[in-house]
Amino acid sequence: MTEEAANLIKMARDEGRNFMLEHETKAILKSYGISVTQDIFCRTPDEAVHAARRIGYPVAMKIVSPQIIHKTEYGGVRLNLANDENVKSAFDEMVSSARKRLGNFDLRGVLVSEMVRGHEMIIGSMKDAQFGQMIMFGIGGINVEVFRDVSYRLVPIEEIDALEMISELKGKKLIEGYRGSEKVDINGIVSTLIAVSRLLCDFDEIDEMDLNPIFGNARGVKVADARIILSKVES
Amino acid sequence: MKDERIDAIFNPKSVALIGASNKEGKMGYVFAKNITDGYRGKIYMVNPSEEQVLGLKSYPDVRSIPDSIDLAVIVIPAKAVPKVMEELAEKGTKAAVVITAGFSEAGPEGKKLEEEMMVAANKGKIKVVGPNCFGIYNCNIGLNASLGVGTPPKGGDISFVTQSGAYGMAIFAFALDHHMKFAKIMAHGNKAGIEDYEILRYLGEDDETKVICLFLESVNKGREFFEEAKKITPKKPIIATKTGRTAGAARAAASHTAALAGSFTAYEAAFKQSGIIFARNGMDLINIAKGLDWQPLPRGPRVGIVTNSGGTGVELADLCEEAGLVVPELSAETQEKIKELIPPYASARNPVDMTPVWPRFVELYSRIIKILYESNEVDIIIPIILQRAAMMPEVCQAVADTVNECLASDYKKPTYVCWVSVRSAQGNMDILQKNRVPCFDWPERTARAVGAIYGYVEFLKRRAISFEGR
Repeated sequence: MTEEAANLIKMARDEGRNFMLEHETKAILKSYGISVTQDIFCRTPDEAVHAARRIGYPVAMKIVSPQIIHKTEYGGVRLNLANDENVKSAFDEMVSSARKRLGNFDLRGVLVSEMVRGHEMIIGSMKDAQFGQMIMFGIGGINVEVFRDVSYRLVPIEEIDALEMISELKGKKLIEGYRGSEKVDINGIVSTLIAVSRLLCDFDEIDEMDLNPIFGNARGVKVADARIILSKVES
Repeated sequence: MKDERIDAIFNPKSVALIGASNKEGKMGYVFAKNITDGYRGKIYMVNPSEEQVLGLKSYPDVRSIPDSIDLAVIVIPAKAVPKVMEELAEKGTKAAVVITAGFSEAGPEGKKLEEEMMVAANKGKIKVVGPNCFGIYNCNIGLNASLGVGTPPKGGDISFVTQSGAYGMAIFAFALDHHMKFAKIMAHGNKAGIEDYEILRYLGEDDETKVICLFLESVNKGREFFEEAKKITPKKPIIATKTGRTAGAARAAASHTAALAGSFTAYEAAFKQSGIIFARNGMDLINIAKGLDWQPLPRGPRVGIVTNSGGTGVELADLCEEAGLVVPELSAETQEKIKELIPPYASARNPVDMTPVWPRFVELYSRIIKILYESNEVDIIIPIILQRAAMMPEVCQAVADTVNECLASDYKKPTYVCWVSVRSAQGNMDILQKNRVPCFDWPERTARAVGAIYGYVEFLKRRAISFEGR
């Protein structure tokens, strides 16, 4: 159990939240050795521009608020922003879009993130009443959404389980270098799955988790967006 | 260490039948007859209004039994069970099989009765099977404490745990019809006092059990069940069906992952990860068990098919490949050996199609099976015995003899027969199965069973678990 993860979860609990904000989730993942996109937390449009220049264009931007779990539903995600102007206006647009739905809301800021290329993947978790924590893996947005081509295991998993999870997906061809498409670093996927499994074993209070999307290429895998939902505390 | 109280269920030194009866048609009569039929331990009949039951002294109550009781079999009405359980607890009874229905499955009143019964049982540390169950068998000591008819033959090594009573017993009876022999059977009904993982652990440690079959509706204590299964599968196979797979996950999920999972997801994951062989249905369960029990494990996925019908051969080849097996073309050298035996228009490629040269079936099946067995090009042999071949007892005898002759050699390859014939030929199937050569009805069931067996082998291989001599 990493101290960082324990502290962050406690902080969220203290605030009365049962879910973690994106940058908190990513900090937790990072503390378990899982690679995540480079993100900079910003409070103002100017800070965002500054961050975008540091990361290098193009960038993605996402809203951060304890009132928002599903950011896209609130117009809170913008991708492929190419310059300072785009970043500034994206900041304002996201805030006003969220304000339309929520009124005066608790805006913490935005995350400015690097744009990653690669195959889309998803790792998730859920709890089963009989079997407890389970980990899920899927490849390709369409394969997950439309074909439900996903595999599950109970945690903890070992390397062999992670390899089996990958190999039982029909979509595995996509990451094996199908018709000249880029091969994905399989070791990177395996070690990410095992690290996520370790995190789940350490924190039984994680009820559900989505690392989605994760981008994978020959150099490795990077989590681009992530959310953790904690068990509800009876008051 | 074996759980003593579960061992008392299967290997009791004394059995008390609570509710024993002389009246034909009563539950207490069926059980009295079944228990006295083959069991050679001490039997105590309990019924206050009888002096004797089937020639054995009948006691008015549990207290008056002069001896200690290992296993109590209870068939009295639900309302009377909690009190009897108290008396049994006072006597230090180790285990009880409660056949009686009308407990938690029957509504709130029954649930209360079940709780009362379990309070009494737990006080006396009595291991309870049921209530609302079909009973138990230990075939190897002739103990039939169940509603099933007759005492099954000894010498079996398959054990079967079923949640469903009637269907479980039907599956069991079907298996007996196919000459399969069993070690221990348990129908555990409401599972009020026994957990799936406890039985699994017991059977895992039981030397008389070589293959474990489970017919599940649900599993209690899934985690423990999973952990136990993981320890057992490297040593012996577990096959399980799980009914109620298709009901969708109806709960509201905040995450994507949870929304994608169905009700069967966790079972499926637990089965795959622990190496439990998933059977699609009752017959699948029995077929896989039969193949595992009677034949050695295949070393690889390559299937050699010999058939007296080209069409069936091609259908089976398709189904085998779809089931994760491989049907390779035989080498020129092996094909030459086979071509010497078959007509020029027949095929030696694999499937080896002998075509209808029925006067030579005895010779051809035997010699081609031997050639396939001796070649290092296949790991599994599937003779298709169809129609006319199936109607010839001498063909079935020859195949049985050849398979067992081959198995007596140094290297072990399993043979499974794909059987396609009419009811009047079933007697010939017996010739094969009495010789432990498994027959599966039709290509689909054959490919399915063999594919599932090889799936287990793959599980062992991937984990570098040796299965030498199995």
